[in-house]
Amino acid sequence: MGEEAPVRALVLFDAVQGELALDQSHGATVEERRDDGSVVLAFEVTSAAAFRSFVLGFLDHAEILEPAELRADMRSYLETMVGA
Amino acid sequence: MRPGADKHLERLLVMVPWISSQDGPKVSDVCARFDINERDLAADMEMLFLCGLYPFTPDALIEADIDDGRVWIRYADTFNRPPALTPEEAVGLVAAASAVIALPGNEQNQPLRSALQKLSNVLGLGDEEAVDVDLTKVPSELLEEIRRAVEQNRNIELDYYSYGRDVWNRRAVQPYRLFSSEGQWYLQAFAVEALEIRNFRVDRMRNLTITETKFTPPADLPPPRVYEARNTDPVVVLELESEAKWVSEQYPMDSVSALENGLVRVEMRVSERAWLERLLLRLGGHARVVKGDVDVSGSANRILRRYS
Repeated sequence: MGEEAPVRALVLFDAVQGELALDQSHGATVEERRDDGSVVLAFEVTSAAAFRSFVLGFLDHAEILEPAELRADMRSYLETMVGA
Repeated sequence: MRPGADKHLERLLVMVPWISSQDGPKVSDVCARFDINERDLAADMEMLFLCGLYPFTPDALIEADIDDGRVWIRYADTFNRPPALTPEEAVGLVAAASAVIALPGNEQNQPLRSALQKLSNVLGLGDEEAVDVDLTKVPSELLEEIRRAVEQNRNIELDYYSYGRDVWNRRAVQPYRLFSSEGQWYLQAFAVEALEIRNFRVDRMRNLTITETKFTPPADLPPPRVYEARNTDPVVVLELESEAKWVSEQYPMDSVSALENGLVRVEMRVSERAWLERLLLRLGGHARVVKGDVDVSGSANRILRRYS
């Protein structure tokens, strides 16, 4: 989705959503499985807005780890929501 | 309840051919069959009267009429001509047929397979170019297991993730029907603890067990609907900016009205708070809650803690 230059992003999903996220993330690859049941998935992102929307669908069960730009974009977006 | 546009269209696509195939069915029979009231039926007929083909002259329009308590629909002559599909429409048909064949138990549907093969040949689609209908990834063994439980009328137990409440629970259900909608597999089942028929997304199931307990399925199983609001669900009123107007078409609404300031006000029933939180988070500042028990700021703050 999207037409921006592809960016590789890593997202941490907690144990509650880890397996579900894997099922719902077409094209994503497993970067790391952790002992607590959480999982880190790697995505190729071509639309920052669409990706942010996708990650928000997992509420606080997901966290963008990398890259810093997408992480900052999410933080800025949420700060605006909190202040609204 | 005002259904979403997709549900309305779905009803018309089923209702129109049925009415036209009958000899002027009674209004009461049509309403009962399609679960609508007479006002909705009259509105549908008025809209159909404006439907047809270019150049939209009277001979190219559908005739729809309610007279003396009976309903009549007659197709214009142009509808009797063989359909001339565009390549895009034909590929769409192939995709739809492929999706139906993908349903468990439908693998051996020879008439549909034959029709699909003929259409594919006309389009010049070889095996390597076959249309790949990608329903959400669900293990085929799980689908087979559910289908077996449906066929044998046996209760199942499963761990299920409730998207609306954001929790996992162990559930006991009587499985009635497996179906797909908008790229997802669903099980229509009687939820034993909730004492009502619900839909369960198959990709949100884990640790499914077929029990020895048998049940008798209802004779009049309602048609599967992915979501249907209950009258007891809390009412939420939102005002949507243009970037968020799609919400008014995507989900069932009690009412939709355009405001003078360009916003769209929608009134909907929402049973699960987490679902509404997700929606509002995605809409960002393009939606405002006018009425409803939801704290989107609190939701955003919970997520924000992960980024501090």
